[in-house]
Amino acid sequence: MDWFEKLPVNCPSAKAVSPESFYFRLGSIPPDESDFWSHRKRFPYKEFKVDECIAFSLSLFDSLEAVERLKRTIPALRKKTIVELDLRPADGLIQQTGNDSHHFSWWRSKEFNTEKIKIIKS
Amino acid sequence: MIVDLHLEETLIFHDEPQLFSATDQIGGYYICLAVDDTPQYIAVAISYARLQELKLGKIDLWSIFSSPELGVWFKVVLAEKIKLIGELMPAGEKIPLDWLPIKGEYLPTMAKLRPEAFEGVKISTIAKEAKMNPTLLRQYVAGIKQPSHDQALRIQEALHRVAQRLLDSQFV
Repeated sequence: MDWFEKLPVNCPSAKAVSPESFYFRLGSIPPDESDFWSHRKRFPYKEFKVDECIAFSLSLFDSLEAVERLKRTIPALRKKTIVELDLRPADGLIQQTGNDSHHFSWWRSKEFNTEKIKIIKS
Repeated sequence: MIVDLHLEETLIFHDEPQLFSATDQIGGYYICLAVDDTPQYIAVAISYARLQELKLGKIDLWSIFSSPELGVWFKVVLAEKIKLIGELMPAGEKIPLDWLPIKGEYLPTMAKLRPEAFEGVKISTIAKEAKMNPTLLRQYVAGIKQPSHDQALRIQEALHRVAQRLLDSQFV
């Protein structure tokens, strides 16, 4: 796959699968291209005890309720806007990660077009 | 008062840790919550028992941060690389209300099947033991599909039976 960012070796893992559904993500108001950059691309030198492969991914949720709950729970995310993404297999690979069963890490391919996003609510 | 903190466990993640537990130099527990994008966190010291209550969904996050057990808050910044510095907020200073989680919000549910539990075994072996389609079990382990409580129990029992057979094996 032609990745949007140069990924570490063996990243994503063999457990990652093709997306084929709607997912939700938090972003800026108005949405910005950098909302779809990985943590590592935005902060090249920040190290925070996070697996390096995960640092190159983007967080997604498979449930609108889960992302709304996240906004209510985390003050830093409360003012973010929720965007919906209709991901196809060509858009990259995803894998469930973290303690929340609705949270997925997404490794973005160059195929993904940010114009495809739909703003749900701010 | 300044404390050096070490991240122990990320409890909520969105692009980076948003809520995590940490320990200080003498093993005391803290819980740290992201309050802005810089990122800046607030932290409170927390007893092991209360941390477990939080993880088990018996207490909400608002209660943890609005009424800290020691009655004080720390401002936490990422100083350099992975170094976290917690600085005690002045006595009598309250945290802004918009730094608190909304009342009644609990930690998100844990994934039913932890993928690491399956690292040392063949998925097909566990699926056969559980009388389940291996493809379906792989989807559960990858988090693509979520098993019901009964299915998760069935898989857990199958995993335990296989593990017990391994424990029972003797060669010398």
